[in-house]
Amino acid sequence: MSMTINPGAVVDESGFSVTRSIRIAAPVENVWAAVTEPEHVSRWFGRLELDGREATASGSLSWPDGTRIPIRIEAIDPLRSVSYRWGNDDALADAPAELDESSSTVFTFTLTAVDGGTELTVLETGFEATSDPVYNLESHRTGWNEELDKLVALVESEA
Amino acid sequence: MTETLVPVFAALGDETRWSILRELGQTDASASALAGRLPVTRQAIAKHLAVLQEVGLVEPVRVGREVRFRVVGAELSAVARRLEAVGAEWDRRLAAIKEIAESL
Repeated sequence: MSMTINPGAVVDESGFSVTRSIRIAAPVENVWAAVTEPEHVSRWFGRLELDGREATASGSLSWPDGTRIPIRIEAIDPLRSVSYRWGNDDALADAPAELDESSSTVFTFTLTAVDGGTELTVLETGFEATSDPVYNLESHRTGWNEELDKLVALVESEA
Repeated sequence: MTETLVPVFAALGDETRWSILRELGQTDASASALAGRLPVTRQAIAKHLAVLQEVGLVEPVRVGREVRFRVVGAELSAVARRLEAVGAEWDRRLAAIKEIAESL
């Protein structure tokens, strides 16, 4: 399987993170609504149910197939940024009912008004703590040089 | 208990160890050979190699009287694949957010 370079993956002292940015031809208020209002979040993510709209508000994300994942607002600065912690551990067969600080990740949306609209950046951190089925299962070693080159390119691309 | 990547990430959080991995990515090498190519003493190289070996990123290979080190790729490629998949998920979600925000 060919592997494409992830331009948004970075390595830093705390571990690995993934970041992506996109330009949206809409005012900050609309983008803010799209990333914070449950009715909109349900359209790009999962059904979001939270017991509040402030930091520490918690609840769940769920999907029609029955998958339910715990989620919590870590920080919120209206119209500027919002951070959610969620139990994004694909390696676990059953998502934990409660958020586990040690195996969850945090994603933060940052909104910036730009000419013609809004720049939306997402940064997800904390992958060093999550389990990984590929890591667990892979014991064969093949094509190392190519893979190292790719990983180095990947981690240096945003260094 | 599930295995996590914590030890691997910890081992990778060091510039010298990245340099060593890059060198070993070119060709297997002994600690002495690495010390000749990097601005680090042989003793320091040996310590870094021990850390990398501990988490399974390199392994020793005996060649004649020399012990060379070889990189083991599975763990690193697993990390790269995981991050790539996460990035792809965000690309999809951001595209959907864009569509929603622009239609509000």
